[in-house]
Amino acid sequence: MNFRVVLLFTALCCIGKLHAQVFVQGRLTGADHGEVLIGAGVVDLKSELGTSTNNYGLFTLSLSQGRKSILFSYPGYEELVIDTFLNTSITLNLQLRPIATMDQLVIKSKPRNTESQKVQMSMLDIPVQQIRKIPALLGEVDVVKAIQLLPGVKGGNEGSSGLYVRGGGPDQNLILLDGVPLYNIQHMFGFFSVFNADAINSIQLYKGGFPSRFGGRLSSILDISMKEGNTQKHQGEGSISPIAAKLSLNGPLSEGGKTTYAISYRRSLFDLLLRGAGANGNSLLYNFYDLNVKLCHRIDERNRVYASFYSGRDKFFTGMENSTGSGSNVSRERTEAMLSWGNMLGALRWNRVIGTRSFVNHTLSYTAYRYKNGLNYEGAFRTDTSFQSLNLNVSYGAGIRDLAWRSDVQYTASGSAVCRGGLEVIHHRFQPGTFKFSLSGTGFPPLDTSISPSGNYHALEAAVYGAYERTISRGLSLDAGLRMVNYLAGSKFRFMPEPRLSLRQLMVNQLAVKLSYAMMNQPIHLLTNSSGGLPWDLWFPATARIRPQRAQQIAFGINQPWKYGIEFSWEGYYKWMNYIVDYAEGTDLFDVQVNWEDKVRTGKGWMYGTEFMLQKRTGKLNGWMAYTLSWSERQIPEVNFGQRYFFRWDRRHHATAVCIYKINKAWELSSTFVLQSGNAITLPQGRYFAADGTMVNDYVAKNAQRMPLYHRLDVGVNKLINPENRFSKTKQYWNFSVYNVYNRFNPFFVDIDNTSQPPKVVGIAFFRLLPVLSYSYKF
Amino acid sequence: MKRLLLLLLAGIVIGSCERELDFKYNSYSPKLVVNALLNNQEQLVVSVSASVPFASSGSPQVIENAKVSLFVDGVLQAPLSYNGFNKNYAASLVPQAGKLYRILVEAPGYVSVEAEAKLPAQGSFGASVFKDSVYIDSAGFPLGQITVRILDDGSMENFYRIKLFYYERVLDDFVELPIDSEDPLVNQFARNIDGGVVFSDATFNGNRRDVFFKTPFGFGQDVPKFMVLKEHLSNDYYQYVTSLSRYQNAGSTLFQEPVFVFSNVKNGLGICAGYQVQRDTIR
Repeated sequence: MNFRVVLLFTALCCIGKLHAQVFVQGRLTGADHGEVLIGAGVVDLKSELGTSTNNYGLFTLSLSQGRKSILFSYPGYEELVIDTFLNTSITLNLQLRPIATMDQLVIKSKPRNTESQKVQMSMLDIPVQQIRKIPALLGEVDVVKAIQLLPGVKGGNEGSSGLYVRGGGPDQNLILLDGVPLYNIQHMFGFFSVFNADAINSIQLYKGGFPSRFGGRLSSILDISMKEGNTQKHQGEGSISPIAAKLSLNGPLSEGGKTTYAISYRRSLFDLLLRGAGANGNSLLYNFYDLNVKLCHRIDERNRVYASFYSGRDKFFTGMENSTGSGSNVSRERTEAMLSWGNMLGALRWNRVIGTRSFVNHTLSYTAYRYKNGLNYEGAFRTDTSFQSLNLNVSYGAGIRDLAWRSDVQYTASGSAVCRGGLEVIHHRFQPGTFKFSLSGTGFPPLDTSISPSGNYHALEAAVYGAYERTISRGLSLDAGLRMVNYLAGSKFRFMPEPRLSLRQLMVNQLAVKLSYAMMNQPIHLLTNSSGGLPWDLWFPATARIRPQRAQQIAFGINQPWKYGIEFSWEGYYKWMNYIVDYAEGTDLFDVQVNWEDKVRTGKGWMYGTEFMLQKRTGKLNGWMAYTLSWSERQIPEVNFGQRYFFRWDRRHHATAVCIYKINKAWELSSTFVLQSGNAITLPQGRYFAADGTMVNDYVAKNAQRMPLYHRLDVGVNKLINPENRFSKTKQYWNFSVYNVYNRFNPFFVDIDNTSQPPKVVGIAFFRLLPVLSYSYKF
Repeated sequence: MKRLLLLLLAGIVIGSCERELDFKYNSYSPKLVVNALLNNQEQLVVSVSASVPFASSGSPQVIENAKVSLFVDGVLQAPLSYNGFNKNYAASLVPQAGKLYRILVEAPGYVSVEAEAKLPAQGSFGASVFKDSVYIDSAGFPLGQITVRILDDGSMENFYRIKLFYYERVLDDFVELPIDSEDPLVNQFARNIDGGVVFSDATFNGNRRDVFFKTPFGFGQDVPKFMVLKEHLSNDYYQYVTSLSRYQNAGSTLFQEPVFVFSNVKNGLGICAGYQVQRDTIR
């Protein structure tokens, strides 16, 4: 079977045109910082053959011999046209210059480098510079909150950094930081994500039509690349907001920028501000931090090595002390509770360009997520005649660790054919929860016990993939791929082939019609707290009893670029899933006595919808408008009596508008508006007496009710303090943003107040009108 | 200054706001609730009440003017009469295994509801046996053991409930004995509901299964000693009691998934299900 696939793949590679082809290959970087430009367009203006740079800024374009005009373009940078006569393959390592003023950004020419050129569909990339200008909750720029404003993507609770893509769950997103998965992206109980915008170079979100190099999750791939560092000079940036302070440094470590570094650190400020605020032995502490480090070393023009590192952690601690009595009768008690969670990842990568046609990338990576909470009680009681003490300690810990190797290769067979392939091996180690309990004191023997109801699991995931992208005719291109996943957990082995196909047909005026199909399997499951936003994430492998989740998605859409950099896109999709997991009714998430397999049930899901987007990336006025109409349903035996029900985060309508307007060199305005249907919730609709006299709620159906309509307007003003001083090496910015300008009450969650008669539905909202001032400094 | 900052931060970050929502409930029409648990030892009775909208201040009321019709194997029986003392509708018959009982309830202002139930076959049980001094407790006292033998019918899925009672000399009556067992069937695969253990035959389908229970030190000195209530439940009844138990045990925290109590009443709520009862008195 595998031999036949390889044979077929090889034959397909050889079908490309073999006559008089030359290759233009190289790397594209920004002249201002030397960072690679990811997703930049490279187009031959005569033949209109084109490609885009990959995550390392590399491109390979195959053209026929003769005079060529090759255009290089990237949003925010001046276009560069190279006129040359090609009679042999060449290497072009080029730098694009940033546009000096926003006025120049207005593109009035024929649109190029648009989504229409790409076979890939359902992929969105938002320039980080644009994200940084969007009004931010509490002044803290959040990449994930910006992504929630895109079509097909929804957030969870108000203010949270959850991602629900095309009806999928938060566990169904593969979130990659420099190609390495992150298992938990939440800071501050989910209100902020772990991504420090100052450390990020590019963001790409795939909602469908998944390239075969990606796998392991059902609903989306969020591919985030960290900055590599300026090759020419040292740069720095610092900022402070009510939430956190940040400092980023990057630059060359050696002459000529052969080695560069980029380091960013972000730390919350609460504990520093609150230090000493507690009284009488009471204390409250909360902090989080993120550390991003990346080193890049250019061995020669063809070889580069990278080292990436990320560490982030949240820690919450509270302590209460109580003393009573006087004289010889005294009692003293202290109670402490803590909660901490965080990720750590590291990657070593070797990039190699082979000849003018091939590119190879090898990555060794490690990623870990760890969660821990605990409670400690100490009590001492003294009288004239006795002394007694009691110490109680309860803790719970869980996590997951991955060690992975992957190799990717790209080979440009001809002007119309590109082959990609690779392999990936991941060793997962799941630590699904250990409960520790110790008790000691006067008058009884100490007790120290550890309960791990599920034990530790190991699983091995190995995948090989191949993809073939080919231009069949002038307007028709296809990208066909196959990913074959082998998964071993315990003694259970599974083989899961995943076919992928994308088609694009260019019509008149660069109107592109696209179609894609993708199958994805997810051999790991997440049990998480779906309501409260606490980081209670337990990852578990698929087992003999709980199968890997599987999704298939068909998407159809169009892309139409217009003048002035405006682009319109529409997509419709239908996705169906098997073996998805949901909690059994009545499951207590914190019940460690119950094995996770007994807490969940598996079933099916259906998601379908349509998405519109009007986007303008450049110009004085830029931003986007998006609208999504979608449905997301589940059917799981033993849940909702086996009837279909809406997924909790099903929202029928979701509309967003993001607008950024540059008034002049110093002032910039921005705003976002969100309007969406309430998500589905389960609330009792009636009450009645059961046979034994118990008063029972009649829920009618799971998730049958809806939260109130959600809408919110945020505005922001950015002010450059010294715009006229061209010679100043520093820049200072003030940002003033207002979240929820008209003070809309958008509940974070709703609950039933049973203390009143009749019971009331109450909502808790965390974020009403929030004006915030932040400051940043670049040098 | 720090206190000011504390207040400011608390105001901004934790400045949560709770308020009653003008919540748009889906329209909810009160439904008839029919509860009829049929067994082979008691007269058939049906209680009829009505549900109320959750957000209303009223509480569910017993319906006293309902018309309750009973069909046995499709044959209409005499109308059930309302018993004002017990607040239920009683038939003059004791249900029997193998017969289909259909109950139709009509009441002014409500959608008519119906439900049907069959008593399962008489469960196949062996005689229950008591043996003293089988276990030793932590203080060194001997404990007894009651063995309940089940002879499971492998041709169908079966559900059981076992309850234990001890003889109380002063009261001259049997009093419920709390369940205590080291048997994995009881501890891992059964639910302790209303003083008894409820379980399916999933772990011993078609086989003989002895279920062991502990009795406390000093019990079993009198004659009679114990009574064992052995019940063979229908599938609907099993689903009902287990879902109701989950509902009763569920907390009301944000971290708890809601529990739906099983109902087999068409157009309404409640339960109409049967079970067979056998008693063993251990002397």
